[in-house]
Amino acid sequence: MFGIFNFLRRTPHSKYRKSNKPLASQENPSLSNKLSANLHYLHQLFNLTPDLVIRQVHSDQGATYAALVYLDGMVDKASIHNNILRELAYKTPDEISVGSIHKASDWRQVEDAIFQGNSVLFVDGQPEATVYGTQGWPQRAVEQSPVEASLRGAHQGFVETGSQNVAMIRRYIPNRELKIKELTVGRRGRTKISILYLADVARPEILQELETRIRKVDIDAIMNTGELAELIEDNPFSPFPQLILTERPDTAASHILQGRYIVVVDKSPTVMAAPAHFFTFLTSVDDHNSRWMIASFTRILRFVALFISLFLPALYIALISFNYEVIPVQLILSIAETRSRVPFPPILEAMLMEITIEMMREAGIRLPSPIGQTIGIVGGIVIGQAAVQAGIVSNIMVVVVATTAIASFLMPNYDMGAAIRLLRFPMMLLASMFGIVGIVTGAIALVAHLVSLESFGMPYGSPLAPWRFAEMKDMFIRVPIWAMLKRPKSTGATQTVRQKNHRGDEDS
Amino acid sequence: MKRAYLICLLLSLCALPGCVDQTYIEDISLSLLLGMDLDEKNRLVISSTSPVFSKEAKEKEENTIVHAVSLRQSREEFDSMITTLTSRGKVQLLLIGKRILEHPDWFKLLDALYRDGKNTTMSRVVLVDGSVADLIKFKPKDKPILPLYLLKLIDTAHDQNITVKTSLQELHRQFTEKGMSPSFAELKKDGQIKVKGTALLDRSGKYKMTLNADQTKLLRILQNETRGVFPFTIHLHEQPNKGFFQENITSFYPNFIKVKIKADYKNGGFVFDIKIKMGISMTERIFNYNVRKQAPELEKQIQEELQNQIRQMLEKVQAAKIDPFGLGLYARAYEYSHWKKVQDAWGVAFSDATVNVKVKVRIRAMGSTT
Repeated sequence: MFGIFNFLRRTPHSKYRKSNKPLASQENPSLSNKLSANLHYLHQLFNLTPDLVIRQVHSDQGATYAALVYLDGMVDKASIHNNILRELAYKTPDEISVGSIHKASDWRQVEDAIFQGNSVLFVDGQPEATVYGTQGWPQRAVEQSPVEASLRGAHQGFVETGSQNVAMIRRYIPNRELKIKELTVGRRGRTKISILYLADVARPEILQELETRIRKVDIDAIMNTGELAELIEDNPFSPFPQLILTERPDTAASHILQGRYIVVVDKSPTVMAAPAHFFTFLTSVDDHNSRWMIASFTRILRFVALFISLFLPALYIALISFNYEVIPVQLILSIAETRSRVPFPPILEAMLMEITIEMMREAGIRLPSPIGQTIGIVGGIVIGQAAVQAGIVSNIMVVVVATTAIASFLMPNYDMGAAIRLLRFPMMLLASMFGIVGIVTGAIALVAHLVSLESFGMPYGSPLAPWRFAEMKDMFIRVPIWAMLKRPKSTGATQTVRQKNHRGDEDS
Repeated sequence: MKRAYLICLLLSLCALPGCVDQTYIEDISLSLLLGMDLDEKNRLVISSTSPVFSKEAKEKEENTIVHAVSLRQSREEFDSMITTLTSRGKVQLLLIGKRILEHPDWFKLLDALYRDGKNTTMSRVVLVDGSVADLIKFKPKDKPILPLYLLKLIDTAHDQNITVKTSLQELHRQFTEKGMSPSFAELKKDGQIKVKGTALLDRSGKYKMTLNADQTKLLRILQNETRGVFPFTIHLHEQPNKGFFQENITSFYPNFIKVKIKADYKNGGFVFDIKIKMGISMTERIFNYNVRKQAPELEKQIQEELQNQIRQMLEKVQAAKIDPFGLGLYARAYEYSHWKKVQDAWGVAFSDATVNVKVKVRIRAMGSTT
């Protein structure tokens, strides 16, 4: 259908991939048993690398018999000073008190180890090097994610170190069935990707698909999870996010327990969950954390907000340019009175306001918080009473735009919220051209698109399309947790029992 | 193939009307009030009131009165006079002058309102006792603009059941339904605008009589339309009435009204048995009475008074050979073979019918004082 976009893909031989020496054919010599030869080769490999430290260790006689090599800044210096260098004087390389020790016998391994922040010890007369796990790069403290704040959920967010992120998830699921599959993506970036899943719950076909897609990615480096998500998602021409991105370990763990796969990308504080469904984007951790009636109310509110933020400006345009008969007479009078001062057609008026508010929103994201507040005040004036008094927009339009903006803030997931915000504009255009008929047509197209979407082979519209009644328990209303006995089928979970019924049916 | 589908889908959009019928809300002269009348020379006068949205305009409403041959034709006349486009999608009230109702078959004039989908059929139909033009020009200082004022007036009066609210759609039913005759609200401008009650028409559309506010309540009960409140104030003739002030007055409203209507055919005429059961709460009683001990007697007196009133009203209505109650529907339902013979002249048949009304009243509350 989107053949016109093929030109986007028509770059099979882009420049960056034409390295002079393709990696696959690069020679991979093994280590020499002469220290001097090794050091010489090392210098050749790492020329113009000033942060490479080569510490030569001398014996009592003054002869150099070993050399410790590491990248400055990527290692934990305390461990190198206190454990390795001090203990080398009286211990053999294998006795050093460092947790992870292994041997490397060819240069590829050595290179990788050094780049990962290990320190490598070459000993004269041995054709292999000892690799110590001394990683220690600058790290951020674990803190709450600002995008996904929660009321009562855990206040830990993922950090930029993949292994720590894995650990954070594992703390929620200390189970032997929690398996981790590791892959590496990026020729230069060599980003470590870990796929976490419950081996007895998650559907294996999805893992296979996920792995295949990640393995197919041939790129020099990926910076963030979002990049990887875009590279492997099912339909790149859909406005909807097809992978759940989250910065919360508890959310990630609950996805795993529901039978999803979590992909942890090293160096990114975001993990992604697959397969995703439209309605998972409308749920938040707090839903399961607060009492079920309140949570259900919030859910319903969110669905209402979804419709408001998608259709309200469009509906307003349609009503005041085509179908004014629908509005109660008193409201018509007040709308018409404010509209009579506005020189623009409703679509222009609405676009003006919507774009202003979107700009404010975008401006607020990257501004430091003291300036951000100023933006709020200035924006309040721009889209508020002043604009009305200047006769640029009508009162009702301000109410409509403000309501829409508030409604769009209710989306718990940023990606979905952004998708809805974007879809609002075509809806408005349709409404301005065809009135309510246009809105309905747009809605039909949207629904048609939603039901045809898939996320890793699982239908995106589930549990509404295909209809899965049992999963309605966690949709528009959130029934008490003790009543949700099964895992959702939408994720393709193979082992469905989540808990035993311990409350209901006690009498029977 | 997929692309072909997509192109077909996009092409199908062309079939939609598109921006052609787009009219912005502020470019519409929203006719809220539509009036039809005959002038002294019996020419059709169509009048319209629409709100004015411009801040500069001193008057908040715009009255236009034109001579026309039909409703639809009047629109062109309006468009040539009013600044913006005339729209009748939001007509709240259709005022009909009494002079029109002197002639039969005026209902056909309303054809445009039913035929053209852009017009609404939700407007309330109101008879004006007097000149419609006079009423439209009336600008009370202490009231909102006339259409909204009249709208509230009719709607609240209907809630109190002192008049009926007949929409154009309902009027269409009343005119086409053989078992009943049309009825709608009646207004009179006498310095102030006042709801006179309910105008009753015969099936040709000619004006027959007016029911006042009290009678309208009874009409609504007999129509088995018991929504809203029915505040009654009646004189009980068996109670003392010797002082300067009328002492035999009591007011009450029913908490519930149940109406049972049975139709029968006996001795060459229709017989209707109407049983009305109501539980009442008293709101006023000027005479002294021990309700706690002698409630059944008071109930009986009220019953008789109500029965009397209904009987009187029925006699008048039957004499006018009309059936605004829709009892013909019951006749059709229960005695179809006999109904079939008289269906085209149900009014005449109804005037010969016997209507037995039995009211049963229970006092359910006597108020907060003895």
